[in-house]
Amino acid sequence: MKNLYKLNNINLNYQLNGNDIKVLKNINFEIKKNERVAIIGESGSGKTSLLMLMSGLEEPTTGSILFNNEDFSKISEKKKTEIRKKKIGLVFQQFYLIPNYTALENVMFPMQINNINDEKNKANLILSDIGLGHRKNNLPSELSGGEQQRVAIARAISFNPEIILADEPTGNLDKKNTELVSNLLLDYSYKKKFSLILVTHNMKLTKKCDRVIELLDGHIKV
Amino acid sequence: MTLSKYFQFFIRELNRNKSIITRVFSAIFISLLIFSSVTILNNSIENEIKNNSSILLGGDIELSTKNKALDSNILDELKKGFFLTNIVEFSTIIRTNDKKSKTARIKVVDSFYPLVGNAIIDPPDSLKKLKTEPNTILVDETTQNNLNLKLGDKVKIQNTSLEVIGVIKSLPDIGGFFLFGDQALINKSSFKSLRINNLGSFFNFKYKLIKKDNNQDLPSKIKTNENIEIKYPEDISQNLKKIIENFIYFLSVISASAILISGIGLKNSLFSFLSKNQFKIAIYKSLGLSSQTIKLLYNSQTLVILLFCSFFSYILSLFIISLLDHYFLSFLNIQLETKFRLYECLIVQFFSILVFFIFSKPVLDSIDQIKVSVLFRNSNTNLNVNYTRKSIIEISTFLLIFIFSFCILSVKPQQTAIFFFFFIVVCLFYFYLSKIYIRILDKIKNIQNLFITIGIKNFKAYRSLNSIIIMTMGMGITVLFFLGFLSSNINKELNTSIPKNAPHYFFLGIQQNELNLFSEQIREIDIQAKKIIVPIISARIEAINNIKPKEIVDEENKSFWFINGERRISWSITPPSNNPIVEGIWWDIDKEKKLKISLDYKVAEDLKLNIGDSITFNIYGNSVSGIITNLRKVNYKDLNINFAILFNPGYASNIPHEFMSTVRFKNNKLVNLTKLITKLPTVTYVNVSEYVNKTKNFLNKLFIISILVSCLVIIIGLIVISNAISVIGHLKVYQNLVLRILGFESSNIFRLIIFESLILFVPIIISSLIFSAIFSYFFITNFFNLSWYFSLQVPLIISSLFLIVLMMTLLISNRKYINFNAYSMLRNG
Repeated sequence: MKNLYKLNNINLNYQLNGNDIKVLKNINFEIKKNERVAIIGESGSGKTSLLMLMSGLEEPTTGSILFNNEDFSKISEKKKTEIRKKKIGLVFQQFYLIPNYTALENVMFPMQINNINDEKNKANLILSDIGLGHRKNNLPSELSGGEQQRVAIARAISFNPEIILADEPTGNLDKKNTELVSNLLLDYSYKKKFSLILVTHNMKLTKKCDRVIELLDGHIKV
Repeated sequence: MTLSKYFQFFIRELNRNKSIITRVFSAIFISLLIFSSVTILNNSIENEIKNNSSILLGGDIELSTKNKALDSNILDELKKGFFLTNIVEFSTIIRTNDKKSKTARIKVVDSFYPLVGNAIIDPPDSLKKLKTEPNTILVDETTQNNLNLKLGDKVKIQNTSLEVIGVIKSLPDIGGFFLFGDQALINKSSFKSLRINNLGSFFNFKYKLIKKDNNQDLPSKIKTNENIEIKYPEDISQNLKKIIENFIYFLSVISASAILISGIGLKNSLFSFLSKNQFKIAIYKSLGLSSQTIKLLYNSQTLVILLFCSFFSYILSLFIISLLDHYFLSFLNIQLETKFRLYECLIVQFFSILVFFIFSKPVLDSIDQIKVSVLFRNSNTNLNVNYTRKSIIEISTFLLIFIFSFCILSVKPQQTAIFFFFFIVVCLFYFYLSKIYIRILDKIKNIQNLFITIGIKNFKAYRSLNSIIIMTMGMGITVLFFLGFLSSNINKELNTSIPKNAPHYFFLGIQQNELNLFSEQIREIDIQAKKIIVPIISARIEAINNIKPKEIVDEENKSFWFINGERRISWSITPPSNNPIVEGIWWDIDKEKKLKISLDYKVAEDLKLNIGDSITFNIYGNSVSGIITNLRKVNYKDLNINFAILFNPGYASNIPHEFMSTVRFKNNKLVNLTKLITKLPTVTYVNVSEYVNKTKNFLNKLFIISILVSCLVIIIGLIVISNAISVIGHLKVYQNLVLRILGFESSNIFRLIIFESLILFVPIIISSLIFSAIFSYFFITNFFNLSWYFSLQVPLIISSLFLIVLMMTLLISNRKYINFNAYSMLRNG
């Protein structure tokens, strides 16, 4: 299987009150296409920072991140935005749906900016598929937490990305919804053949992934 | 993103943000409405005057010869190249048979009147009838109403009886603006039976000419004749423009303030919008929209809305001005033609585009600061409007274009530039005030009081927003105070009653041989009447220190009136009791036989004249030079006899002269002047209270319009200030919610709000008061030529009004966490 991501000797430091804070230390790993990887670790271990680096939102202090063999550090911000637009789907703990858009419009939006035709029908299909066809005209504030996260996942997969980066997607959900949402993500990753990187504290969920990377104090725990 | 998809996105965003857009752009819409109205008003008046200046003058050229008719040879020569109408104007008293009387300006017309334009008379054929039938008169509507006249009634001028055959609705040649103009028309044969030859009649021969051939020029002997005043249509348009210039200037300055304040308000509201929509923008970014695309979206939305606002405000202004024209502007004697003019519309659009580049674009550029990482961390960024060198250059350039364009379009470019200078100074002051605040607050440490600690932390956390709020509030309240002071000063002037010792009547045109009869008549009316009689002559100033006055005094000079046209001059043995000497010495009646001059010190100051300078007069065709001996402080407002020039009686008493008199009766209400004007038919009188009331009435109408516009600006100011205050309130909802969860009572949050408001409110009120007092003093003394006074009521009323708005806004914007409902606050979405 081909590599989708290749992270070489990644270090990430912050300056805080004149002191160097080392967030990530010497990180090396690869993600293959259609691979499901869970990233676990304690709070403050650098999981979210790693996800931000992988989505091209932040630059590592040293090291390189290759996405489809393209080095993030060597391409323009515009190109990175373009990659994020076409190839990376993001799912957040807090759902972050566009508040004044309905569920359907939220799902349609990435397809519209990616110039994908027939976006309305496609969005309708996805929403029906995840059991929210009857809620398509509701605003996010009218949906439950679980429903909001399902819409967020529908939005993330709507434009057929190559990978979804999910930052604790079940962190705000109850047991039943955690099950529902995690199954949805994993099922879709098989069905649509995209890679999945899942930052989570849920050990049950990690067992469903192909591989687990554990971070400890900025290092990968071997 | 394709164009059609972008357009869909654009429309959807606009549609979803309707309520925010209405709130954000309401102030800017009102200010553009004011600006459009002022632009339309200014252009319409200018066009009206320019297009009709020949009609307003009554021909291509007007020759005026004061009280002497043109020589018949000259007239014959003129008739070869021009069509000509001869008009004689004078002031006199019109009496009715039932003993009512009224001062009016009489126009004696010949059969050619009017050469251009239309006289609207009821019945329409009565002007034709007037020209042919002797002893007939046309009166205007005011005279008809005041004297209760009907067609066919008889009135008297001196001892000549005239039949009222029609009522004047409007005359075309109103170049001099008949502000106090009760007027009447008679024909030449009626005029011949009158004895009008005195100074009090303000007698004037006028010849209106129309060129037979476009290239026709006046004969050189007319051009060089110093006793003939020549007027062209452009002189009339200049004169009329000057009369309304201050009014238009005031309105345009107000509209500039409105645009700038609402521009600051727009900046504030957009900043608040971005701060509140950080997550939404971050979501867009996370989905792959670039900062550029998002900026393009919001920039194009703002620009489209501004252009729409400016277009709609222009159309609405056309409607408003046409309404104003009917109800308010009729007193200017101008019928405005309000119609859509593309260039006016483009001017308004141009200024709205400048507003966009000065106030909106720099704020929207802060979209760059919003990172997708806020979604991972679930934390807001405190947005700041960061001014880079590039953005400062951009803003300064557009601001300069704004100021330059506004000055060029203004009726008074220099004064407008001064206004902008003041505006920018005040803006900078408030901007730096916020910086000083931060520095001072930074130094305050080890405070035990929790409210003060939180208050200071909040102030520092929202420093960028606070500096905008300080600027907005500062500018807004300064303008509110300024308008308040202006209104109170003008209102005071308008409400000032006639001075206690002012005379009730001025009598003009009393001849030497009528003095005893006049005094006798006054005694007969009221034996206790106080009368002052002074001699009077008319003269023109030919030279000042042997230089023609118009070469050294320009039209902008406040005392230009002094050298322009004829001056009435008197003389006195002793210094007038109401005119104290401020420089020089009074003359010795026995020694001084050469001409000596006593001058109004204000005129001397404006014309830079000193004791010992010479003034040359043309008195009845003779040139006479005299030396300025003393300067007097003349208070024209006391409505007593006040002359800018007095001669020494040793010289002047030999000049042929007549007399004028002021009379104060014990009980003015019982006075009946019928007998006096019957016995002294050439005497004209002016009723002082009637004159003052007419002036007040005219000024009142100007003032009402100015106040209406000022009120609109005050509303804009309050909207902007209210929005500014609510911005921080909205941003602190989360923080205050946490405080509530931690056990803060509503009352504690109230105390915190009051403390934070007070540290903003108190210094702003104090500095606004100082600035507005200085600016209003400058305006009142320089542009309105009134004496300034400080009204404590103004700051008290406006501060209270502002406090009410402040408290209401705080209550509304904080209601979410005062009425504690954690669930709805905590729920995402």
